[in-house]
Amino acid sequence: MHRATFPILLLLLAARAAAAQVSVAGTRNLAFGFLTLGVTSDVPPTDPIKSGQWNFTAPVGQRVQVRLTVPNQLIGPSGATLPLTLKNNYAFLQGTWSGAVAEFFNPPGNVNFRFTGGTGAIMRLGGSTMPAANQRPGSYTNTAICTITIF
Amino acid sequence: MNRWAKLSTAVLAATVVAASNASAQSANINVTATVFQAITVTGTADLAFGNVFPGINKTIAVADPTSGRWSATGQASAQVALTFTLPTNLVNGGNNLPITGWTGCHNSTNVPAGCTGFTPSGTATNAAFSAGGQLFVFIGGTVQPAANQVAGNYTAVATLTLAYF
Repeated sequence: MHRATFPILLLLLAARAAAAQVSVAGTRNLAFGFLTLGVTSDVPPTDPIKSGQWNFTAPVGQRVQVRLTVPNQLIGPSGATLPLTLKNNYAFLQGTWSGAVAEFFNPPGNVNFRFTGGTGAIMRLGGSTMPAANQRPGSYTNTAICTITIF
Repeated sequence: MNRWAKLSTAVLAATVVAASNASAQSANINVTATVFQAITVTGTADLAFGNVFPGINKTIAVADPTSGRWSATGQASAQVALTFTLPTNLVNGGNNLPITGWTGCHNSTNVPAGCTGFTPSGTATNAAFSAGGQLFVFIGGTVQPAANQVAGNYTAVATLTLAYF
């Protein structure tokens, strides 16, 4: 048995254990609600009801990269599309520990985050949309994806 | 490479692959919106007091044939707020004929029978479109001609605004 093999195996097994403790879950849809034709509807990421939200857990001190993929349109009846606009700083990451500060960024994109003071964090997403004057009535939807990768 | 070294290498490789696969996780949320049918509202009948006489008030009730009426269409079963801009006088040149005592009712059918009564004003009254996307509004009021009211035709405009909420 090569003695060098043991430390390497133990290190990789520790990394796998850390990965198992990192989790992400979508907890709230970005919901614009009903829209008025020709009127812009804006949901800032700070909206406590309408903004989209993901919850994260990770060990204290864990560094992660968060990648946010957001569509540029919603799909409605008979394939009708509704544009989705993402403004600057319309997403933020924030730890759930006391004193944690929201770190705003421009969605979509990648952002690095560290669980410096606790094991929980949230990410919120806002957006803006305006139905055209002749927008087809009905429900529109699409999917936003958050991927978390540990360093 | 001896047997133990080969085994350790294989375990090492397998562990590396497993760790890589476990290092990224994804979760989705939906982005949703609902576009409502545009609201249209049309005045279908004027509130007509007809002939009035000096010093004698005249009231038109919402159920009277000459009550004012609007017809609106919009998103089926959606809630709307009704607000009114109402005159305080009917006008004939420089002469005013006071109007007061506004009454209103809304219904899902184009008849006042069975309608829901309210007091029209600039303060919103909540209503809802029918399952067929229709709403009918009726309005009445009372004019108060003075004893020395100048004869002539008096008129003004009453405006109904509907907004989803």
